[in-house]
Amino acid sequence: MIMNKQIIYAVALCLVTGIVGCTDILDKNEPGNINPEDIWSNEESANLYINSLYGIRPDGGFGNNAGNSDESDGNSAFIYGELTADDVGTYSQSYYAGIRDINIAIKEAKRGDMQPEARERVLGQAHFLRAWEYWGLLKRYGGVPHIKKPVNPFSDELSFPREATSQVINEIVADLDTARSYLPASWPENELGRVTRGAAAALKGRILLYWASPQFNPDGDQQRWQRAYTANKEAKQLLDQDGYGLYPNFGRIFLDEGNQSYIFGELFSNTTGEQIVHGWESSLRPPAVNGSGSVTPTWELVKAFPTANGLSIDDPAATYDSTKFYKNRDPRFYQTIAFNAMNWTFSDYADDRRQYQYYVDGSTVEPSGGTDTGFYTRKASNPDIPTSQIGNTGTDWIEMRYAEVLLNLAEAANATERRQEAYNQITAIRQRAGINPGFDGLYGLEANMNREQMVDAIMRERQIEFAFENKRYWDLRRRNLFKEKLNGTRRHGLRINFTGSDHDQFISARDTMSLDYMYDNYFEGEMVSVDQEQAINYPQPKYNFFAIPTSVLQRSPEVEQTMGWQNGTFDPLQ
Amino acid sequence: MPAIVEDGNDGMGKPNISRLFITSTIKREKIRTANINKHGVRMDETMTNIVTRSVYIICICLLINATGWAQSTSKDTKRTLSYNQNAEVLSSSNPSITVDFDEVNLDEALKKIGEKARAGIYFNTDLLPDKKVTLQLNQVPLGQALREVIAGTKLEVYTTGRNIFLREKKVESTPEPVEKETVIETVTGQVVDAQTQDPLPGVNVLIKGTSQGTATNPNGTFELSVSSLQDTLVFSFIGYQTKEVPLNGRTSVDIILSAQSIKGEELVVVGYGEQRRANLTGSVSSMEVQEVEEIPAANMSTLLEGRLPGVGISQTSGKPGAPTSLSIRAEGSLNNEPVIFVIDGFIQDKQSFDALDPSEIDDLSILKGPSAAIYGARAAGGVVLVETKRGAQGDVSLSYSGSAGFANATKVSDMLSATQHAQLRNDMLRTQFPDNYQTQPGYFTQDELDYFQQHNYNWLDSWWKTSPTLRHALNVSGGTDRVRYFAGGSYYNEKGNLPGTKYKKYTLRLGLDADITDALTASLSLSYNDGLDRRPYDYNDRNQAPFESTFTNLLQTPRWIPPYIGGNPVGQYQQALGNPIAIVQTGNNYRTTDSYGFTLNSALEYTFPSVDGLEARVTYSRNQNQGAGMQYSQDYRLYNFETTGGNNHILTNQVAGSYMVDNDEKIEMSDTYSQNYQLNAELSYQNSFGKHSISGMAGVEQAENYSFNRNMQRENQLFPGVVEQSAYSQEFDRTYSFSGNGSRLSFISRLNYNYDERYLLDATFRYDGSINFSPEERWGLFPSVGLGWRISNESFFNVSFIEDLKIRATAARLGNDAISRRQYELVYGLADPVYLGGSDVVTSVRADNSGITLEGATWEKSNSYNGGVDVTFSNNISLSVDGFYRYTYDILTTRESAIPTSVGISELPDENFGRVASWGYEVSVGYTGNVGNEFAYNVDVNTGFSRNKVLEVYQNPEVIGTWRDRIGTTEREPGYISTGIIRTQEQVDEILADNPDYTIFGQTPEPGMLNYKDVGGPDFSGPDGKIDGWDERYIDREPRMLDFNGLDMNLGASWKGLRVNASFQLSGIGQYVFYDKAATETNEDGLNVPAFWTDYWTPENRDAVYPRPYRYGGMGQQSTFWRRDGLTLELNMASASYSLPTNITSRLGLSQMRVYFSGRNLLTLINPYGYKDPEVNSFNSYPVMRTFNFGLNLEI
Repeated sequence: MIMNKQIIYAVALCLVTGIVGCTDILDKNEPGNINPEDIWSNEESANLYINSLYGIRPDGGFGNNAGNSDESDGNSAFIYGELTADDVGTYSQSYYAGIRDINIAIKEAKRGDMQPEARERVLGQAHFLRAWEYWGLLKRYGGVPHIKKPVNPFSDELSFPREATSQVINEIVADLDTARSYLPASWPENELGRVTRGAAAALKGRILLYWASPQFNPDGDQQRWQRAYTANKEAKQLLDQDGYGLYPNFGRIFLDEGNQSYIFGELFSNTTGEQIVHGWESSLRPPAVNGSGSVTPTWELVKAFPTANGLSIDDPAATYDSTKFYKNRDPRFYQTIAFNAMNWTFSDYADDRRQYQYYVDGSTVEPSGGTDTGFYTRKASNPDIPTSQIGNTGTDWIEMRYAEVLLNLAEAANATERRQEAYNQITAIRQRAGINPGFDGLYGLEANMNREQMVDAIMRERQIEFAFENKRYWDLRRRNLFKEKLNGTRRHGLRINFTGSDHDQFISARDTMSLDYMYDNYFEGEMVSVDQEQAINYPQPKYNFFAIPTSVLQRSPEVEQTMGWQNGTFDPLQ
Repeated sequence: MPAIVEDGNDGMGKPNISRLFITSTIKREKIRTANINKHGVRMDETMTNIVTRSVYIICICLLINATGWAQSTSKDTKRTLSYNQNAEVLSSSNPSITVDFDEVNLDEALKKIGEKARAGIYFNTDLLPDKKVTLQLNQVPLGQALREVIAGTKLEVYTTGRNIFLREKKVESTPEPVEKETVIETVTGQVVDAQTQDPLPGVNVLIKGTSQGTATNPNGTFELSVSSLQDTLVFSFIGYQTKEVPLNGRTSVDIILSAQSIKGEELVVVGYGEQRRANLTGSVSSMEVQEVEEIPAANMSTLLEGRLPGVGISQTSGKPGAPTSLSIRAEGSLNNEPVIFVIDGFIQDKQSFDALDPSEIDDLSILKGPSAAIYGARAAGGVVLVETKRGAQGDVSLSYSGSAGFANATKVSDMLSATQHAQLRNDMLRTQFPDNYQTQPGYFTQDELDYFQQHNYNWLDSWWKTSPTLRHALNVSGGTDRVRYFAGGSYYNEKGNLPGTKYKKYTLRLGLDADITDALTASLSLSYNDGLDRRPYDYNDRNQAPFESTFTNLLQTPRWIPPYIGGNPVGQYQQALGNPIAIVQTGNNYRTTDSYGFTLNSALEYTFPSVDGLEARVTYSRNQNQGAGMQYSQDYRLYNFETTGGNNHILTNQVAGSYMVDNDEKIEMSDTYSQNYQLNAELSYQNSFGKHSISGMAGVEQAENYSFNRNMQRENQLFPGVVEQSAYSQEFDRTYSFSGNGSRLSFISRLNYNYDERYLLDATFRYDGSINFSPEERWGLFPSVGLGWRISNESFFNVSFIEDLKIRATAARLGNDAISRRQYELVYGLADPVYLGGSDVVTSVRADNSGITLEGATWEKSNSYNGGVDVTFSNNISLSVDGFYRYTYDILTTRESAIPTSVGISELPDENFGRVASWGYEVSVGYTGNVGNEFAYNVDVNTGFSRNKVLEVYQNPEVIGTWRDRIGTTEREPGYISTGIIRTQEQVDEILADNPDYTIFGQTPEPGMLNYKDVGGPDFSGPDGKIDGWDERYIDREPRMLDFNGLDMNLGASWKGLRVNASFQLSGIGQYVFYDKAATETNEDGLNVPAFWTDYWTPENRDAVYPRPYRYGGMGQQSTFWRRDGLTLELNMASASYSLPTNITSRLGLSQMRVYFSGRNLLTLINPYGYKDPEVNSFNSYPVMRTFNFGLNLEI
């Protein structure tokens, strides 16, 4: 019986201790959780949070909007004026979620116990990125709700109407000024992707240039041009001081990571353990080398490149042979345009590989389709990427490079009647491009241009310098060039037809022929329209400010629709 | 084999068992209570939580009160019980009994012994003599006690399995001297159970009109001398229908006995205890797992299909090892309400349940609605309860079951042939380029079309094979009176239908129960399961279920392209799609997963000798699951070929080039690990006092879990063919890990009371603490109460055709804590890495929940009600009807859609806001009958209805009051109201004459397009003269109360040793189904489409059934055009088995041998779709399998 009692006691003890002993099992932390204090106490950990903000940047990308402009072909609702209110969906929950993440950083970094300088470096990045995010909205819609703190939906007032465009511009500029004063001139090599004070100054210059452009400034307020000039001038001075400059090798601007022309962008890598990549190499390479070849330059872009002397091909003084359009052109032409029968090779192909994209009896010689315009682009192509990796391109995307600051400055200088300063910027770029300076040192530029002619020259220079860098569409939009130059016209390609009699024989010999021989004896260009169904019809000024998506209006009744769109009452020009 | 405890074969009697009476308190013999355990003592923890302690004290108080009340009741009945404190405690399998009877009625005495022994004692009241018992027993073993009590009667004690029977002493066929001059003939035969085909030992066999007879031996066989072969034999056995069989000259008869309706007597596991079905007040379904044991399936859930009312099983894919979804009753929440799986008392996940082999399972029941309340905070989704097999005292018994079979697709959609498909492409071009379609590069010329007639390549057929399946299961069990054991193992193998695929599963279970002392029993069981899976790796499947894209490619690649030319895989079509056949062919693109788990269940159970009916039990269970995965993938080469034909669509055998296809070239190894334990300490009490029976338990349960997964990847293989990480470059090295944990603490009690088997009360309480909520909101109380009335036990009840009638009702509060954790504090988590330059990516972190916290979130709660009637009619029909209603409130919903976009909420903490009501009913009807002596059959039908309705939810302010308003609605199908195909230009002109701006999804109407009814405009305004997204409406059938969920029918019949079963499922009655989106789109990407796309609109075929294939209005939109009546009838399962006669099996030394055939997903008798199997989501989804199996079952 003694044993029985012992067992009873043992069982009772088990029960009691088993129960009461373990209530604190409910007080445990999830192993992967990180507490806010751990983040905001020093620069290193705070930057881990800032790192995630670099992942939310939109708006970048090779070839973006090319088909919405005269750079490339494409049946788009933009180019034919068929947009609905929901087609431009940048104003979205996820976009503002990115802004919210930035606002969290600004709020928390101010509270955390970092050293002042460290805090500024952290805050500077956040302010820059907030400006960048709002700029992405502003250039599309005009004024939007500008929210500067992480709103708590359980306790804060939840009505956020659109703010005046001018007000948002001021907020953006204020953020950039803060960023400029907080940020360092440069970062260590493994942090190249972080923004610098030079980037803040340069972005401010770009934004104020837009603000002065006809899109925002249809009445041509000169004060805005003056403000744009000052900002860009300051930007250039600061950049020069901080070691930025033009990169001599135009073809490798995007390939040589960390070169002096990189101001702001998004870095990619195919060689780190975690691949951070895009698919540009696949988009540009032709089907013959297993690319999709989807971004194809128009004949209009091809024609826009000057000759090696910097002259327009229409200039009677230019040495230009329309049957051999590829000859004697601006060196940038060969880094941008891939034309029929040229030597174009990649690391896993023979060095003398030629790219054929001509037609025989109405059929292309290319496998599975081929280019619509007769051309492919080579912009930022990296021939060292093996074919199996073309979908995983690690080429850096540069959103803003030094040449843009020069041309921004040129445009603002021209508008404020500082024409010589404008000339200086363009010639600097043309010099780097390798254009023959000419006896007058103008690199083919017409002398004594008036303000309007200079605007044209700058826009032409931007068109070729920044082809497929997502600049042309926005330039056409901000300068009302769709309305003034493109509407009613069609974009074209140049189809190269085989004119010989025996194609099989030609195939066996073509790789050994010179380009000129082929073009003289076997090829003939035929201009074909790539806007087959209708001409370009981009409604301007209506499309200078897009409609707010209806899903946004439904959840945010205080947000007004943009004027010009259905039920629109918000004036983006205010 | 059931062990015969007692074998008194002397005495005479007239076996005329007409009606059964069962003792009032039946609990399983102790040897069968499995969920018992060992230690679990944590002495080192500090006492912290006052709440916890006080609850514990309350539990103890409840228990003490109950005991006190019970004792006082016993005084009322003036039956004084004496306890011998010093008695030696005896074996619990044959527990010792201490009683003191003084002039007690015999039936009372037997009842009392049954209660004391916690054993079910079955006897026939008619056989009890009107006898008073005066007896004093002091710690006498049960068997002996019973014999003492029945001494002097015609009865004897007989046990089979867990039941104890009192039966008339058997008649010995004594070889008395033959007085008359009669010829003695010997008749032999075997008696088996109609349902299970198990041999029945101890069946009385009597020559009609005499007292001569015998009983069957342990093999169920008998041998009897008869005076004439014209005699009639009477077979009787407790619990079975008596059967009279005229010999008609035969010397051998095999008999099937059908069980009498003793449905109410079976024991049902109900969560922290067992109850007799007759005394249940809630809605609990149970099934005989044995019935499905012969149907091989990769996971257990699949086998429940169509067997249990209110349980929804759906298997939408037949990929090897593909999971099957299981849900119980209607969704009552806007959130996921997971079903919980309790295996031997241990709360585990579905994966553990699916890993079980049916041969391991002894009991399976489903707790629905309020019956699940004892699982408190996680009960809302319902509970699946499983008890695994344990050993029983007796000789070694061994059973083997093995089967081999094959699996193939129920249906693969017929697709267009190469020529038909090419013609369709041509017609699409004709619509797109009316002027110059013939010069388009995609146009197929006549010579090409002709060529394709002879060159039609079916990619799928050339690689799809019937998959062989194999299963073996072996069980051994037995035991002495002190130690009982069970061991079982199974093996399952499925080859898969595509090359390079394999699926294997092993299970192993060992169980031991030992009586350490007479009051203390220890149980230990260990189980192991292992699933191995291997399949080819196709990069296109990376974001989808495995094989999904592979299958789509094989099915939809245009058939004018051969998969191979001269041994080289063809890459002509879409480069991104690759060539799945080449992947398999290379052999070095595969993914393997090995998931294995161990479970330990241990228990210590102590019977307090001093308090009658009081037991304490501590159980500790632990489960550890691990998985090892590997992906070994490489890029592969495809070839281009020179083309010929009018428009270069015919491939020649001349290679034009080749290229590598990106197939995610890397080696990836991943480990997953999870462990969880559950510790229970329980006190239970059970006793009865006169007509009052009471039982109850109180206990505490705590559980913790931890899991992690680890992943390592490398790229760039340095040594081809070496499948090791170290054979890869270190340059592309990537590793990561995630881990998680959880814990819960619960206080549980249950109280059952019944008065005279007439009035039933069942109450449960659970007090749950969840780690998901802030300390203030962490605890919740979940009570339930159930009432039942067994009307048929009332003395006034006198309905001849009703044998048993019970009405019952339950109400409970259930919880659901299945939400994301820790919304109450701000935490940061790792986000995608970014690259900022240099040689490596950098880590990044983000704030969870958009940086917002919410303190007050707590449980979702449901008030759940269930009412039911159970009737057993005397003509062997049983009927059970349940109606339920559930009101769920405090549903955790997010307000996201009601917050302005610019606040930038990407994830918002959930708030307790939503409300949903759900209701329905379930009916199950069963019938067992027989024709003549040897043919028996049964029919079981389950049906039901369920619906839910949203009462409150956050929604976009704009939709309130419109047809999109979710309040007051059930989940419904939106779509467009089609007005049919526009067949002629005249019809187009008419439309445009009415409204020149009319467009259909932005397109001006053209002949061949589908047109729709203009019912709405922007911002929910009225018709706006064009068809767009605003013209959607609900186009399914308005739900009605009478709409059935479906009807499951299980049919069975047996004749001699032969038994057949079939289960049919009728669904979609009065409902609509829609053609899947993929089937209604003739994509411009050129993939093949189902074969019904031959009768489409062209200018020459204006009366076509289907619209034109090129960009008809709203292509791929769900509309009434693609709507069909949903009535579906399927033969889900059929089996046939044959038990070999005893004379053959005994020669082989076996007690039983059975061969069987079974099949699953056999026939779709009514298919509303035609082009695809009704179970799969889309015609290009991996198909569901039809399986056939042939098997063998042996018992020794």
